[in-house]
Parts: sequence; C-alpha cells; structure tokens
Amino acid sequence: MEPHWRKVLYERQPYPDNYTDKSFLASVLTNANQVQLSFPRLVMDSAVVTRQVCAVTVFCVFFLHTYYARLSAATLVVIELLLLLAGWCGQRRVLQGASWRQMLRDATFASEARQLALLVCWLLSLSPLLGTLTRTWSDDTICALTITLFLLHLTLHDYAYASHYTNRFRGTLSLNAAVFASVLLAARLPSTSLVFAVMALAVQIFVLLPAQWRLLSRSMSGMQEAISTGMLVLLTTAMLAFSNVLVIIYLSCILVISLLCPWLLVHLQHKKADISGPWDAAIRAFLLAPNER
Amino acid sequence: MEAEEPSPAPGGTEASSSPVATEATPTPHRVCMVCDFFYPSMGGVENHVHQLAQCLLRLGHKVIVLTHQYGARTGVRWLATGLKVYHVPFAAVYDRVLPPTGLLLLPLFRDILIRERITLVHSHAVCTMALECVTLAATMGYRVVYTEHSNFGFSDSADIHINKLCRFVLSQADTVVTVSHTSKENVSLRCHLDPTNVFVIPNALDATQFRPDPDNISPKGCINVVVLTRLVWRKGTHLLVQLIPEVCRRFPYAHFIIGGDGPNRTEIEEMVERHQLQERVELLGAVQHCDVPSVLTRGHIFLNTSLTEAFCIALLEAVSCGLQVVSTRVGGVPEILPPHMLLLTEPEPTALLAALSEVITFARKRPLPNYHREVSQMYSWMQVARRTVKVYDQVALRVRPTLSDRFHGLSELGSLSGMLAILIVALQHLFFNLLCFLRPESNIDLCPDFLFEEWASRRIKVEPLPISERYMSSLSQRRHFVMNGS
Repeated sequence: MEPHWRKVLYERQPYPDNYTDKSFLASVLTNANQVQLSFPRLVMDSAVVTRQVCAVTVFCVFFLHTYYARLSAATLVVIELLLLLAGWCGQRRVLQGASWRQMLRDATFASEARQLALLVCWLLSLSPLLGTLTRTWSDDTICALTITLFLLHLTLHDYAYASHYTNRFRGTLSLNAAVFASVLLAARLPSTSLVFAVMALAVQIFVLLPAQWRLLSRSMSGMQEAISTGMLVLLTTAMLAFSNVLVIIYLSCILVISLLCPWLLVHLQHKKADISGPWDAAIRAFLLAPNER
Repeated sequence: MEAEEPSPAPGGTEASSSPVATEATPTPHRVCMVCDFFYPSMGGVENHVHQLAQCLLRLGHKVIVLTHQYGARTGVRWLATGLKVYHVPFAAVYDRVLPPTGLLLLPLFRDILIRERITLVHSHAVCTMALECVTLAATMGYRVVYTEHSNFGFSDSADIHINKLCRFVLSQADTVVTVSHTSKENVSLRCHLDPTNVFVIPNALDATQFRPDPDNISPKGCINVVVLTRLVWRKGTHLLVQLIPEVCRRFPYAHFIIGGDGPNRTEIEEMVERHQLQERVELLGAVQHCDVPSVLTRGHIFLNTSLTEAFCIALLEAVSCGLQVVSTRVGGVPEILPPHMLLLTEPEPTALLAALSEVITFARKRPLPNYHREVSQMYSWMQVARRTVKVYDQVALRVRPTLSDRFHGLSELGSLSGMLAILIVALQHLFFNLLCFLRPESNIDLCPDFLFEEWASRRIKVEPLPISERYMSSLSQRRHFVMNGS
C-alpha cells in the first residue's frame, strides 16, 4: 500500500511531481471576510457624499445669481460674514462649550482673526488679476472645464477623512480642482468686488465647510446627521426652484447616490467571489500595527 | 518513483559527485532559459536559473540563458562550465524588468533559437521577457515550460491585472512548474490551469556553501539574531519594528544583525534611534549573495517575519548554517522543512515575541541543535535538475496545438481579453511568417556547441572539479571567463 501523500517538499514521496491530491485547494476560502452590509447603514454613510454634492450645487447657485446680477457683491459678503460667524460660534459654543467671554479672550481667537485678515487681503489683491484671467476664453470652454473639475472634485474628495475613517487628509487634488473651477467661474464676473465675493464663498464652501461638517458629525447621532443632511437637501432644492429641470436633475442625482447605489451594493454582494488562501499576505499582522498608515 | 536516486554523500553534495557528465540522457534537450532576472543581478530567481542551468549542463543537456542588458553587459557572455548567456540589447526600466517590447524581441529571439538549435524554451518568473517569450516560442512551435516563483492574491487591482495577463500567457505554455504545493494551488486557481499539468519542483540550496561555523559567531557572549531580507512591507518590517525593542528590553544579551535594504529601512532606523539601540542592532545594508554565509554564521537564531512567501530559500540557508529558525507560518513555508527544524508562529507581534523569547532562553542555556547534514540531504540542485528533465521528457512527447486550436483555447479567456489575446497571437504569427520569408532559416548560421566533456577533461588537470566548492565561494569574482566571441 502506498504511503499517504503529505503536503511537504522536504521528503521525496512515491508520487509524480504533478500528483494532485484529494486535499488540493482544501485550504482555499471564498468570501471569508465578507461583511453583511445593511442597507440603512449604507444610506446613512452615503450622507457624506450627498453633502458634498449639495455644497457644489449651492456654490453654483450663488454664482449664477451673481452672474445674472440678481445678487450684489455687498449682499453676498454679508451672507458670507453671517455664515462665518455662525460657523465659528457653533464650533466654539456647541462643540467646546465655551462662554461668550471665553471665546473672545481665547488666544486662538487672535490667531484666527489674523488668518482671516490675511486671507481677505490675499483675495482682495488677487481679485483684479483673477477677473481678467480668462477674458479671451469662450463661455463653452469655461462651462465644460468647470463641470469636469467639479466632477473631479466630487470623485476624488476624501470621504474617508470626512467620515472619520482616517485622520490623514488625502483630498488635496480634489480641493485644488474645486478651487480651480471657482477661479474659472469667478473670472467671468464683471466687477472686482464680485470676483472677491465669489472667491471668498468658494473658500468657505470648499475649505471651511467640510472641516466644519467633520467636527460636527463627530458629536452628532446618526439621526441628527440624517435629519441635517435631509434639511440641507431640501434647502438646496429650494434654492434651485427657479428652474424645474435643475430640480429634477438634482433630486435624481441625490436619489441615485443615497438610495440606488447602496441598494445595488447590497444586492450585488452575492456575486462577489473573494478567494483567499495560504498564499495571501497575512493582513492581520498589519491590522495590529499601532501606528496608522 | 525516485528510488534509484542515491542520496548524496553526507557533507558534500553534488560537487563531490562525478566531475563530468555521466548521465547523458538518450535524447539530450536543448534548452533556452529566459528570465529578466539573471547575473549580475542577485536574488532567489537568479540563483535558481543559474544553478538549474549548471546542473542541466552537467547532465549532458545543452543550455543557454537569455536575459536583457545589464549596464555595459550586452551580447554574449560565457559563465563557468560553458553556460552561454545572451544579453539582448534592451534596457530595463523598472526593478530589472524590460518594458513590453511588442514584437521587437521576435527577430532576435528567433535567430538565437535557430542558431543554438534549441528545442525547448524554459521561462522563469513573472517578468516581461519571460512572459513574452512564452507566447513567442509557442508561436514559433517550440516546447515551452514556465516556472512560477511567486504567489499573487486575487483582490488587489494590480493582482487582478497580473492574473489576467498570466492566464493568457500560461495557457500558451506546454506545462507549468511551481516551487511549492501552495504555489501550485495559487497558480492553478489564478490562471485556470489543469492541476495535473502543474508540476511541483522545489528550490534547493548548495549546502557546501552554507556550513555551520561556530568560530564565526560575533559578537561573542550574546545571543545573536540574524534577519536577512529585503526591507519591504511584504517581508513584515513593521513586525520587526515592534518586536526588536521588546526583545532587547527583555533580554539584555540579545543582539540583532539585520542585512538587506529596501524602502522600509528608514522605519527600522527610526526604531533604533527612538529606543537607543545603536549598540544592539546592526544594520548591514544590502548583502551580496556570496557574503550571505558569513553573515548567517555570525548568529544563533534566524528570524523571518514575511507576510507571504512562495518558498523562502533563506530559511534553508539559515538552517543549513546551523541556525535555529523562527518564522511566520505563511505561504509555502510550512512545506519546506520538517516541524522540528522550524519554529513557526502566527504572523502577529505577540506570537512572534513568545516564540523568539523561548528560543533565546533556550539558546542561552545550551547550544542549539544543528541540522546541516539533514538539510544537505533533503535538497540538492542536481535533484531539481533531474526532476526538471523528467518534465522536459514528458513535454517533448506532446502534440503541438495547431493555430486554430490555440485560437479556440484563447477565445475562452473572456470576451474582451480573449479577443485581445487572439489579436496578439495572430500578429505574432503574421510577423513570424514574414520573418521566415525575409530571413529564411537556411540563412542563419548554426553555432557550434561548447563541448563540456572535452573541456572538463582538459581542464581537470589544472582544477580537479569544474564546480568546486572553491569556485562557488569565489563566484562573484570570476563567475565568467570570456572565450573568444562566438
């Protein structure tokens, strides 16, 4: 009787080199690490994408109103100041529980004020330059470029950072795309003050707002987050109400992102065949590493 | 099956066997080894190709090696015992690998194969040249054997890409050889191969080069732990970073010797700085292959923290040098040595720490057991060569598929990739026929063979053994002697 075949190399066994034992592929696992996805959870998680789409839409709406001279530079700046104040108070009072007096005495207040002043000076001095930047370009070019850049921004935005999956920000390219798109749009405006107002809005919406959302979402419960995102969607829809086509496009986008995509992800799971075997890199060792990459 | 195989004499391996070819098979094969990785580059694959070629030569077969240009090294070079190496004049772009050449390799490849009257092409490892030559040789009607040296996963986008490519290329090879059973499972699953057509022939080591040397242990009075690996993520450098400070804290007499270089070297250096272990941890940088024995014999314990391995020759070398090995239980590692020679643990810091502590305490009390003799009897390159020849013999008897058979097989690869593969093969076929017309076979000179037996019998008076231990140890200095251009 022939000896039992063993999965070893250090011993010559009375089997040919191409012998395939019954135990072949016995240690292979399919879908070993598959996580059962829950639809409501995915819908909640998609809120971060919805919010970013809202941010881009709001910016575009403000731009359109200024472009068609329905909104003056002064009004826009006042709106921005109010938003800035609200955001700052919210962060200090709600998140850190500081009293009014503490908020003004705080050392960070001085440095924040200095940063704000610096930013405003920069924008003011650059506005005349930005205003004439694309004078020779056609509107079609600007339109195509802006749409491409905003799509790029939405695709590459660091959603993992925004929803606290990681502490390292990797969305630089996305941020640059958004700022570049804003510069292209602002450059179409007739006056320097309008250019300044729109650029300031861009900084607020693409730089400060995601940071604010990130801070807020940490202290919010799931329900609060869902309600606030729903309100944001309603608000944005209301702002788009001047055009029915835009409202339909916008709402269908939101539906696809927050309902259809999670539904597809859940219902296509069974098609997944994730094969793992003894040859795989031992990932567990990596997970135990204390320093996050 | 290999009952007739006499086990090599203890202590000496193939070097001590008959100096000249005595086992010329009835039909000697004429083999062209193809691999991007070859001397002067150093590594596991390079070593495998060189050793296999040398042993096949000594078994009376004709072997040439085809690789690309290395620096100024282009054209034909001769290595010891008449191993002819063709360095095709294409430069490597990334990690010693050629850029895809399209069909540019075909004219040169065809000329070489005809000149040398090759009957079989043997490609090694996932690299541009090896993969391209598999399909080109199949198009020209040569027998093709492919040896897989590594494992790939299924989830990474890079892995998926490589698997798609390998599935196409390996379907063109007559047979596939892997270095471990785990690797066989991996490759048959990845490339949809028939497992009965996948052979397992392990790597080996030249045990005469890796002997224990208790006098070489340094620093003396410490328990020295040797780590010899490329410092990359796959080799578990982050495990080392966590492990070393803790071991040094627990055992004031533990000393680490780390050889190898790589992108993660800075992490190790930072760890040494942070814990002020400059006296306890030596970083040697890259170690030449000929210096490996002298580094290994400095230590008592060999530590391997790899996260994935197909075979790991380094473990064999360490055990052969008389070191106790602590390794992670990954890939093909459990297959290569019996459990009493290896201490295997799960690839996580706590398990590794426990295993290493146990061995260090043990080594402090009494000398560790030495398995040099056992290892030298388990593995020899000559045996690898004999098993490979059996594969060649089987392949030589098979019927070559016709072009329409090949197209039919390729159409099963998938709708898009199948079409692409058929297009590539069709283009190769057209170009090959054009070459046959423009440069008929009769116009290509045949190259006279290097008569190894004659050379050895003349040479034997000067140097007793063609592959002597002395030669092996001075491998890097005079690995090639240039004969007048072929």
